[in-house]
Amino acid sequence: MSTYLGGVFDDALPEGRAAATITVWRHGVEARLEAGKVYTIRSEVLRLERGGSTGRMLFIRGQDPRLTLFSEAPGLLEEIGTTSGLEARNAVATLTAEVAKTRRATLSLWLIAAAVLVVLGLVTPPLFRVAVDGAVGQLPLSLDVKLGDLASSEITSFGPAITDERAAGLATEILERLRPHLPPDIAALDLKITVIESAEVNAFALPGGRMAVLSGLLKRADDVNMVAAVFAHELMHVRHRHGIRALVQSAGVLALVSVVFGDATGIVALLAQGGVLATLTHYGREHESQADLDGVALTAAAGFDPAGMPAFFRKLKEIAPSSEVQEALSWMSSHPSHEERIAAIEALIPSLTRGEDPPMNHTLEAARAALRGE
Amino acid sequence: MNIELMCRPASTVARLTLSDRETVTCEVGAMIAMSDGLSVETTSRSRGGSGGFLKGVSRIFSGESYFLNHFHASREGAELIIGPALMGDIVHHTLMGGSLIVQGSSWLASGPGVEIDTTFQGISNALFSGESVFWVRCSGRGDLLLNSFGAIYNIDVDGEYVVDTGHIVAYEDTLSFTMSKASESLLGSLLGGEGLVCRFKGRGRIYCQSHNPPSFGAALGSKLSPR
Repeated sequence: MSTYLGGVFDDALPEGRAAATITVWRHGVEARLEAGKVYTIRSEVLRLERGGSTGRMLFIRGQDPRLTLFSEAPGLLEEIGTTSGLEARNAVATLTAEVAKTRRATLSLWLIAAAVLVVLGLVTPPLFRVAVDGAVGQLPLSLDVKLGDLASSEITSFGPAITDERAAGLATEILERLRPHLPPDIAALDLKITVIESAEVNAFALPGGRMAVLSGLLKRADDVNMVAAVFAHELMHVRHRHGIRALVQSAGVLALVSVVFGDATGIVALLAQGGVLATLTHYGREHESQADLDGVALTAAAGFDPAGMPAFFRKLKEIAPSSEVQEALSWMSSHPSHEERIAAIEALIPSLTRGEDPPMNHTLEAARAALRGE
Repeated sequence: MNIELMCRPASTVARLTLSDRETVTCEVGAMIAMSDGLSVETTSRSRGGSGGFLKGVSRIFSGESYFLNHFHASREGAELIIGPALMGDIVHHTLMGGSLIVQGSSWLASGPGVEIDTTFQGISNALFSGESVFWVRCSGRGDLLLNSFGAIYNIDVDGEYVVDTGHIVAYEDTLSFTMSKASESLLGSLLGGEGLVCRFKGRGRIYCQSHNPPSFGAALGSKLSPR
């Protein structure tokens, strides 16, 4: 026989309640106050209920509505079930069944909530992608041009533009060789490329086709095929409108529509938070893979050696660790998972038909000399 | 320990007169003044050594301090005056073996027989009640001082009782509470400005406060000039 700490509600007590020690007997449940007063609720009239702040408080009632015994002590319910008379055992069984039912209901609710969350987690990303694709498809190409113009002033923040014909001419010649192999609407855009003085090995294309190549890339590339590979990759971001997709994902279609109608203040404010260029050229992994594969196909069609792209990836990997110029890593850092990408590109190359490779008017060597100031 | 509540109800302070070797545990920063014959010990433990680091951390979640101040009297009649941070009333509750669930930050002081612990009141109650996720559970025997924002009053519930969110100071553990709409329709509840309310069931005492800090802050905030 154990005793349990608990209490008694009795209207006759000064505060209406008092602490008590509860004991279970065969004939019923007994509560003894410190003052010595004893309350007993007989087994045959005993009613049990769970409640209280934790839901674990056991309330024991009999026929007298003014009297309630209560305790949260573990084991009390079990002892009433084993020690008290048959009626009390029935009361315990009823309560246990009720508690189990409530628990099952609560558990079911949690399971339903968890299932809903899982389904939402699975369904939301593909639905979102479909919605973004649909939204981008509805937006005119002129919007890309407008957005590109908004960001174009940031290009020169990397460094001054290089006007020497040997370097600028090479970049333009490669771009012009790639242009006819782009879809007609993209080829018709005002595609332009600027060479920027910077140690960084990087190139980027803004929506609408304005491009920039940093001189670090021209200095470190082995041949024009490597340069063409990077250009083709960047052009594919323009073609697939990845910049605008990134923007739709982060800003929403309404913000873009405001640009169409001439009010660009909202979007400019939004882009200013992260930098226009950063937002427009921050592509996801999926977009990068698409630009790789379509880009390498573009280089082959334009007559460049498609092996230039995987070779350039390897070159970057090779020079980066020993390079004192940490910026050399920048093109890589925004383009993750090299090995997989190289493998995917090389798997595609054998199926490509290489176009005619006419001699170039500009050479990489001459461009390098111009960059060295010779 | 003799407890006298002074300057009620707007700016109540409690004057505690301790017997020789008696101890009282107070919220950090509650002491306003004290006589000689009192020494202060600051720990994360309850008086007598129970608790420790985890209990201290759990108190932080309930809106109380990590540390507790124990005032120990070395002579008969040592006097300590304590008060809450915000303006409002103090109530003296005598625990007689049961537990009182106290809203975070409303616990002010308690005698050595009172154990202070943290309790979780359920996700939905925490999200919608306008109260802390964790509450302070005071159990055992002895004196307990609670403070409120505004005046404080108690209701002895037997059956059901509704209190607006943000007005609960404490309730006895024999009561259960759930969040529910103030009126039958959700729209009516929202338009009536009551929204969700706390619905208590069972038998026991509730302490309510006449004002709540979030509403006060919202009323005041709009009138302050921007810095």
